[in-house]
This record gives sequence, structure tokens and C-alpha cells, in this order.
Amino acid sequence: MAKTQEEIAKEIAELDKEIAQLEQDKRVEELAALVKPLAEVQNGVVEVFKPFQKACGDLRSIWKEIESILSESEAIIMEAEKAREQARAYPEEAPTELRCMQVPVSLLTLFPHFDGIAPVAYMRRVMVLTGRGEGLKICGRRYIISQLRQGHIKGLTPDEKRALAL
Amino acid sequence: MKTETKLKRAREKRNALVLAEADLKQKEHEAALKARNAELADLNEAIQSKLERYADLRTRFLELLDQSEQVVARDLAPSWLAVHTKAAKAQESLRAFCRRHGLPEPRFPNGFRELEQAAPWLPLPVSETINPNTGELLRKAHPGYNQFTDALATTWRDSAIVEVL
Repeated sequence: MAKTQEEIAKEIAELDKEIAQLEQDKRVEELAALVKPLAEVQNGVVEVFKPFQKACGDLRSIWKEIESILSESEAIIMEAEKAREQARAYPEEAPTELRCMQVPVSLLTLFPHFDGIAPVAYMRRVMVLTGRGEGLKICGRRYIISQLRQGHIKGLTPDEKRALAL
Repeated sequence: MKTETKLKRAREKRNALVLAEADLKQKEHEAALKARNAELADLNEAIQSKLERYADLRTRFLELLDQSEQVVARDLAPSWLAVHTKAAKAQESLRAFCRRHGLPEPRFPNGFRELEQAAPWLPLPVSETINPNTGELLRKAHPGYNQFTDALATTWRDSAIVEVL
């Protein structure tokens, strides 16, 4: 039986709809194919960034421990100085070792020298070190950057230094 | 009783009291000395253990400084070099792609707005980080595309970086 005009019109409308959808899918596929190499290159950056991120995390852990050691050591130095002063007040009775005790020098003096400048003075100048006593703070990130900039971190080739914009 | 006898007894009694007072003073002094000695001995013991702890801290501190330099030289610097090289190539690819397809030029590290509007389908090296102080969501280029110091600062501050590609 022949199709009525109405049925044909309906079928054409459905086909137009299907064609529009297929054209849309094709555009999406083409775009996906077009940007695929680009996305791969960018994903490559994200992937190689992960080891760098891990190295940063490791450094941060190390410097958190350094910060806590510095705080504790500063507190011990202050206590030792107080004990020595107390012992000097009683020279007859005080144990000799306490009376003659040498207050240990700050751990900060163990930092490497920066071009002949005293480490503590240098670190205060470049804001690696702030505060005093129990409020002492050392910024590991700034320290690492200054170490890299000063060339105190060993093992970097001139190319690597250029790449790091140092 | 004769006055002389009274005087003698009074003098004897006074002498005894002077002796008793001196004895008491001596005992008090000895007790104070003992207390001070005990206090100083405790102090000495406490400070000796603190100094031992300080020596351990010093050893650990030197180890950590050494570890820090090793991590930088062995891991941080080479890994950054790899990031830097790849990011430079990726930036160039993206620029070339945009030129070829008549799209606005991507401006690293933050100027993607125009490009995002023109081509929302384009994968961009954008990352989102949360500012720990304000809780604000920051949308900018992935830190791998930034300068070393900025990438280090971002990564140091934000343990989690969310990539949006």
C-alpha cells in the first residue's frame, strides 16, 4: 500500500533528526581526534610533574622535622643557660660540671656559610629565619630556593641551572 | 640567794642559750645546704639528660640537612628539569594548535579565559587549588607550566593539586 503524504513527511522529519544527531556525533568525534594529541602532550606534563610533587613532599617532611628540632634545641639552650646561671649563684655547693658547663651553641650555626656571611645573619636577611627563642621559625622552601640560587646544592649541571632559571 | 650567785647562773644560762642558738643556726644552715645541694643535683641531672637529647638532635639535624641536599640534587632538580622540558613543548603545541585553528592565543600562566570561551572543548592545562587560608578555589595553569619558585611554592603549600584537563 502506498504511503500517504503525511506518513512520508513524518518519516523525513525523523530522518532529518537522526542525520542532525549523527552530524553532531561526527563533529564531537572529529574534535576528540583533533585534540587527542594535544591532550596527550598535556597529560605528559601532569605525569612528569608527579615525581617533582613527591620530591617537594619529601623536602617538606624533612623541613618540618628541622623546624621542630630547631625549636626544641633553642628551648634546651635557654634551659641550659638558666641552669648555669643558677649554679653560679651557689659556687660552693654547685656541682662542678654544672658550674663549668659550656652552653651548647645553637644548631643554626651548623648551617653552611653563604659566601662568607654568617649563616644566621644571612638567613635573617633573606627571611629564611624569623623570630627568636621558642618563636623561632625557619622556612624550608625559602632555604631550598636560596641554596639553589647560591649554588650550594651540589649536582646541578649548568643546563639544569639554566632550566631552573637560577 | 646572793646576787653574785644569781649573776653566775644568769651568765651560764645565757652561754647555754648562745650555744643552743648557734647549734640551731648550724643545723638550719646544714638543712638549707642539703636542700640546695639536692636541688642542684636534680638540676644537674635534668640538664645532663637535656644535653644528651641536644646531642641527639644535633646528629639528626645534620642528617636532615644532608638529606635535604640529597633530595634536591637527586630528585627535585632532575624532576623539575623533566617538567620544564615537557611543559615548554606542550605550551608550544598548544600555541601552534590555536594559531592553526584561528583560536585566541593561550597566555600562560593565567590567561585562558578568552580561549576557554572560544573553544570550551579544548583541553587546557588548568589546575584547581584551594587556598588554605581563605578556602577560595583558585583556577590557573597547572604549576608545571610555571616558574620553578612558583611551582615549588604552590606544591609546598598545597599537598593536593586537582588537575582539570
